Amino acid sequence: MEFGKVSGIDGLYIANRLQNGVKQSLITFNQGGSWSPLLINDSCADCTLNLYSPSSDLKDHFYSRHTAPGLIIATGNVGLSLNKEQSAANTYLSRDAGLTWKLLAAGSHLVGFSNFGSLILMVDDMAAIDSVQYVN
Amino acid sequence: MELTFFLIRFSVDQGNTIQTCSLVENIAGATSSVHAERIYTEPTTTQTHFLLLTSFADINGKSSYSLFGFNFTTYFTRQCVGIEYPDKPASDYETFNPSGPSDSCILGLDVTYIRRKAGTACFVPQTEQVITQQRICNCSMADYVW
Repeated sequence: MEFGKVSGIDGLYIANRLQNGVKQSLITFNQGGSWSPLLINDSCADCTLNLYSPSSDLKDHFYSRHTAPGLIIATGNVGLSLNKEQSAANTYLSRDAGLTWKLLAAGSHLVGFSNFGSLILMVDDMAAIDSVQYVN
Repeated sequence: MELTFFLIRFSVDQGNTIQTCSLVENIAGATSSVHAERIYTEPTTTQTHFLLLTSFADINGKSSYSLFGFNFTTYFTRQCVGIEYPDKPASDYETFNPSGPSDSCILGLDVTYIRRKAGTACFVPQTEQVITQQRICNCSMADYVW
């Protein structure tokens, strides 16, 4: 799915827009009234964060819960356009409901929150298991 | 005997720094790589437990599953305190306003959440649910057309 809702905060959605061959992730804070790209500090000034699948599917490549407002962990890549090659995938975190992002771990991960987001577990889901991560 | 190696990375400041530790498990009958399928949590309880469902092919080539439990209870040595006075240094909680790129009024409401601070190594007692405060925003000149 190229469209999804951020859990726990009203009006917040993320969508992937394909335009002139460029696929970019955009976020709205006002139920679609205005959209803006996902901001991340990077040496490439024009680059933004683009997410694989900004909907909570079975693999949880986009993870937010109403019990941890503002906290999102998602899989994607930083660039001018979404790159769906497995080697380009990294895991990113936002604490401000998707406005700004930072790199959390290399590779794609399953994610789980417990105890209102006090603890976050991450497991690499692309490679065979050799790592489990948790963050709190 | 094939052992699956788990590298556990953890952080007490919500990803600013990540530490690692490892454990090794023997998954009986696994003849292929083990893949992570799903993480199960109880997000609204005081528990800091996780279940991890993994899959692999068994000796007959059929899909098999293995379930692992993770228990972080002993990692947290204290409960979070200070939900009555968020943002103060002595509080483990902070206010959060999802302002977006412009102002704090979203769909006519200015909503503030009280949530656990990132860099505090405490667990949230069950009695303290997610707290939200709402203020109705007044229309400004920008909300009208001629």
